[in-house]
Amino acid sequence: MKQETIETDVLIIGGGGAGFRAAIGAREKGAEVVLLSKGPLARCGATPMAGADFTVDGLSLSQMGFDGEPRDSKETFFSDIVHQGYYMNNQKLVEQYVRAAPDRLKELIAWGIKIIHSEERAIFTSGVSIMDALLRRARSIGVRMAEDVMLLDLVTGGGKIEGALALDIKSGEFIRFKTKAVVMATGGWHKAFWPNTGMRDLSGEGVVIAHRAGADIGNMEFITFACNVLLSPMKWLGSIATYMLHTTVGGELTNQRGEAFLDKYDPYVVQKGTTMEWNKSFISFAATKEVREGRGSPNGGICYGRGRADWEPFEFVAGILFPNWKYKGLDLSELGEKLKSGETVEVGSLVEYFDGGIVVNERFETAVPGLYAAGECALGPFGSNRIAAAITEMLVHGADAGENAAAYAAAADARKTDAAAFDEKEEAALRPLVRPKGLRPAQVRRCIQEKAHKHLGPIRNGRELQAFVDFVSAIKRDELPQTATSSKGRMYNKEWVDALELESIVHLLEAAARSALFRTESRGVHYREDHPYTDNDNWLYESLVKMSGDDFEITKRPVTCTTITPPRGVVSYLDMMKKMMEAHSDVGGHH
Amino acid sequence: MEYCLGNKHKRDGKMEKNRTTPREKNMTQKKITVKVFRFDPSVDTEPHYATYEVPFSNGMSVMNALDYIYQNLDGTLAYYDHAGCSLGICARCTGKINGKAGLFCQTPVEGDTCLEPLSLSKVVKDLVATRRGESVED
Ligand SMILES: Cc1cc2nc3c(=O)[nH]c(=O)nc-3n(C[C@H](O)[C@H](O)[C@H](O)COP(=O)(O)OP(=O)(O)OC[C@H]3O[C@@H](n4cnc5c(N)ncnc54)[C@H](O)[C@@H]3O)c2cc1C
Ligand code: FES
Repeated sequence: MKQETIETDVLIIGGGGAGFRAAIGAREKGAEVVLLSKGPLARCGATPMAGADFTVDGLSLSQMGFDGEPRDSKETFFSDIVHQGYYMNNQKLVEQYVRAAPDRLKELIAWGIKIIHSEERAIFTSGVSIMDALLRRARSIGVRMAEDVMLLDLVTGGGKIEGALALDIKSGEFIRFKTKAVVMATGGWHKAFWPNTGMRDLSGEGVVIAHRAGADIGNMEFITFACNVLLSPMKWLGSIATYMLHTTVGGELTNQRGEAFLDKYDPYVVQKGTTMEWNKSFISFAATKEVREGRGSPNGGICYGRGRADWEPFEFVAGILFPNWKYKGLDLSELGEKLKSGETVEVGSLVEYFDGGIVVNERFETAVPGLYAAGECALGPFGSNRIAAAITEMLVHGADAGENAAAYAAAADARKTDAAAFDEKEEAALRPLVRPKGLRPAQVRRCIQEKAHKHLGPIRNGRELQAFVDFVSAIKRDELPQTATSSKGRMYNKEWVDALELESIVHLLEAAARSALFRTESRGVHYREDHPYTDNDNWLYESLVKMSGDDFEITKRPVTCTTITPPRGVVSYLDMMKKMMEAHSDVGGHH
Repeated sequence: MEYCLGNKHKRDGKMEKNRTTPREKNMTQKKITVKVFRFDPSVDTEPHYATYEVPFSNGMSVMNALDYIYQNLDGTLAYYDHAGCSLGICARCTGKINGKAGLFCQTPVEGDTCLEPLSLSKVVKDLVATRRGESVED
């Protein structure tokens, strides 16, 4: 077998917006850079799936000639993000986000993104347009890249990053890397849930590999569910087209009995919670409540229809979003006809964004020297609830992480090679392939995914979480060591990849469920039926998951505050949501 | 203790009945035949076709049928699934559906179906093809 070893200064793991921006940042500082993308270059991860909004303070936007609100400021935007995050935000990261956003937008424009329109605090482009611009830029400055290559593990020496082992999925060969620094930019772990929003590559290995290498992970219980995502027909499962329609055109959400269930809630919360990006937390909560209380649709969702809205204005606005009812690769004309005739479609709350992740400081360093993290895989600026754009996040993180990693690599000693460390990791990765007979990885996965969707959704309780933790622990102990591939060839062996991914999925679900169990309060996107209040007296803490041997230790650390001091007191969940909505400035717009 | 595949008995059997979701219950009504091009250059001297019975539901895509086959009937089948978007964005699921080029994830299944790669010369395995960027780009 041929054994490839590639040397570089900075190795970037992940080919979404954060990974590409980090690669550009490191390369512009003079480092040799290699980027690994598990899927097709610039067409994998969550970034190309995004709508996408890019948030920047309105004053900066207006100075750039867009429709930004000039009364807005960086300070106001900062304050709004911290209130939207229910004070759980790392305020140092919020400052970095607000400060760096205008520069990131300016360069994207220079690199050729298409802007569709702008408003008070955001411009709207598409995830595909951003990826195309980043790919062109990265190519033009000499970033080396590989697609369909999956990181399997990091190699450390004396506690520092020295290398990485990856799998070329098509050939089935291992690739060894010698590198001084690594930027983890592997995005979320949507694949731990079924149904989900589509991407098949996001199973969270990056977070798990960083965790095992010595980085902490935290706030894992905060998982954002997009609302009003299509559940049917199957070919559209996971598309956010109806989410976009409802946000821009409106329409009616009803339960299986035909009741407009949002009418039960405070009209102020409904107004903010349906017309702003608050919809992800508010509607997902309200819709999940209907489903859990037995008023859901056959596939576990609710119904979306035009309601009393007239067809012509509805179709006019829809036509701006989806010209001729085409959206990305989807032909949505069937959806248009249904809505026109007054029928409803089934929509649900599906996993969209992970607020927690790898713990970083404001230089995007982890606890492991030489290891950086950026984008959705990092514990970012949004605290317990994200309203502002994750698209901005991945770019502000990526640029700084890449530059800092390049500076670190320039000052680092030469790496030593430890062939034995690579051999050992290859042997571990080969286990499902050499095991003669055992459990089929995809079947184990599907069963875990469905349970995760049910018990780790927007509404949780202690009893279900404990049962889920027990279930996941049993899988880890008894089933993971038994997975085996049906065929033993190495070229594009999907079951092999599935078996490797499954270890990450199980690791992350256990970490998230135990963190959710640990947090005995409700805040942001984490609602506990058995603790239905936000507890600012006892819970202004981030949860942390530390590795201790093969097990986890769940601990906490105080929230990082620089400017805004959170208030004390215990407030019921929906009242707290309303307070946080009311604390918003009068800048307007969706954020 | 609860397990995924009923650890005690069905080691490599099919999904247990009671684990099916409503979506899959709808699928038990009608069955279709899906004929799939198979070729593993590391062991086969020439390609062949394998035929599978798949439960049909309205609005299912070719990709949904492949997912069903891979997850329930034949784990050796290769199609571009380790990444990809399922929603018509990445174009990596391109192949021939009953002789016509299209995206597996957005082409509806209407009845018995035959699936093949676009070009024989580019086959890595079954329905997975090569493209540029096979190794680190310079
Ligand atoms: C459907 C959808 C719509 C969204 N819409 C919006 C929106 O409109 N606005 C907004 O602000 N946010 C939106 N978000 C969120 C936003 O898109 C993401 O948070 C953001 O794109 C994440 O960027 P990233 O680069 O961190 O990760 P990703 O774009 O997810 O990229 C991760 C990369 O890492 C790779 N990878 C993973 N594991 C490995 C491995 N082991 N080895 C090698 N590579 C690996 C993946 O293949 C991928 O290339 C949306 C999310 C979804 C799911
Ligand atoms: S899987 Fe991406 S276009 Fe079909």
